Amino acid sequence: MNGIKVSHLTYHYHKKCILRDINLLIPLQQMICLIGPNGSGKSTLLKLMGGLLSLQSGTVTLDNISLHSYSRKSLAKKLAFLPQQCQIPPSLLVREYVALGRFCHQSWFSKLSYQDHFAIDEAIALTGLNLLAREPVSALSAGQQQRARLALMLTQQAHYLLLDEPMTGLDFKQQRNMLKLLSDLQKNHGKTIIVILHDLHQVMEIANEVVLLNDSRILTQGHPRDVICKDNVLKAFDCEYDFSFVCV
Amino acid sequence: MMNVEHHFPFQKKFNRLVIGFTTLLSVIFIASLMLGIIPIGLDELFHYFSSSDTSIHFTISLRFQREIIALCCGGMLALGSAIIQGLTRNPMVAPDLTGMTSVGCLFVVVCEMIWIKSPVLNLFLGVAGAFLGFLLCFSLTSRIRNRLTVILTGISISFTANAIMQLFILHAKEDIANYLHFITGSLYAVNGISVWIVFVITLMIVPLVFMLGRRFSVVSLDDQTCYSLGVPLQKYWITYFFLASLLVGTSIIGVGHLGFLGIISPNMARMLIGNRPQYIFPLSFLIGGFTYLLADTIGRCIISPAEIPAGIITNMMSAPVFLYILFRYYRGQHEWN
Repeated sequence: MNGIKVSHLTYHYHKKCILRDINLLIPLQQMICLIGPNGSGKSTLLKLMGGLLSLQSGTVTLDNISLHSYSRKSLAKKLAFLPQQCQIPPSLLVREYVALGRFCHQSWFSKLSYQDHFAIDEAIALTGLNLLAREPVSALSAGQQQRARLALMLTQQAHYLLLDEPMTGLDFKQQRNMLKLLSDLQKNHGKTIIVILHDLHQVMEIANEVVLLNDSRILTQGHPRDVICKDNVLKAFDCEYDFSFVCV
Repeated sequence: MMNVEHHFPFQKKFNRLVIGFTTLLSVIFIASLMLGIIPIGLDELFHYFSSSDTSIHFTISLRFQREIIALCCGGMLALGSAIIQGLTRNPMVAPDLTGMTSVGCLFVVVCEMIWIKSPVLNLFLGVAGAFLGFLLCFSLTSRIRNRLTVILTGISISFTANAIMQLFILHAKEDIANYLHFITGSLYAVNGISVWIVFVITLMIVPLVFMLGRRFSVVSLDDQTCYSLGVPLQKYWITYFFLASLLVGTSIIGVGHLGFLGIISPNMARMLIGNRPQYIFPLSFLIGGFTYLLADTIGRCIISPAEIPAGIITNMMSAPVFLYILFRYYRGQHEWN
């Protein structure tokens, strides 16, 4: 079956266990949120699913094919990853920066084709960067830079989108826009999105499925309403949280 | 039809810069053919093929060979330097600061002294030396790799290789002048076969590198973004590093050890057009070639009939530019801060 399938995944870093026997199934065209306290292994799990780290034990398959049998380029055509932090080359213009996302669709000597320009235009329009396309990336605000990074990722035209804390550095309005954009991508463009979020309200709002990680394991997984409850939050985050005003 | 130029406004600036530098280069090329111990008029130059004066023929062809090699080698060194600066994302790295040129020169000198003199073998040794020098520098700094450690390690490798080379040259049985250009970077010892080798390799490799420049742009992003965009970084490292070694190694057999030229040309290109490898590569080549040709012409004419090695002139010209780049870098105005 298509989708991402993680089975018996264990990962150690400097002899410390980061992930322990993870089994997970990501169905197509869903919005999956990974939540959990800091250091619970969310980012590592996402990186392993995105092929950014090499597997130590266990398997990850993407559309029924093992992740490590993909070449980097063919993986990038299927799956795009937004890292938590990345440097932005200061002198590039937004459009030049976004154009780099077409890397996986080009060969060694080719120039940008008509399809490439179309994909770049589409990504810029989706992220609302039309008016800034000819500005240098360094002149943008943190939120706009984040949108430029998202546009870079969208130009890959991959089906699976993996986002590691995309809300970092965004103000309230930008966060709303980002949420709207993500749910639009999932509902209208049929993308499968896996996203790490910290705000439980936002999770309730957009997720189809929530995976709660704690202490290198999956604590629970399921519909947001079932997962995000007083008991689970107390278990995972070790703090009380009042859910009475969370509208579902 | 889509207007691509509208989207990438730097293409226009790049075109203008290329035209400007090519014009400058042509002017200095023709001027350099005319200047020297025996001055040659413009009319004699134009009637080169129809005239029967063998002494003028000889002078012109000698100067022509010398200029071709200056242009190609200066350009190739700058281009190789631009590649390794891009790969390491470090603006202060250059072939002479990572031990590439020194180890290459050492190999060539030792082989010439204890075995045979052959330009073709020299080419292989130069390339192998450049490759090994950089490999040594990078494997020594594999644990603590930051901008400073790479350069300091490279400088110590460079000093050691230079010291051994100087020891060999000082104890040479034959004329020291034959080897002097490996220390100072000059063009006394140009011979016909080296010119051909350098010229053919320039024609083969340089256009290839220019075409690959477009693909290279993505390497200026950080590792993680590169991976997620599908860049096989390891393959890229090997390919581009091999090309850089080939360029630097070839420049060694032509002109020997050149100093600062490698570090300043890509940085000047970067100041002119920003960090865009597809434009930086051709511009570095032009700036490197132009600077070296200018230095050689000045060195040849300023106290003629004696000559100042071009390497010394380029070092003198480059030192202030290098200081300027260094200050800019520490004031935080540089691209890679």
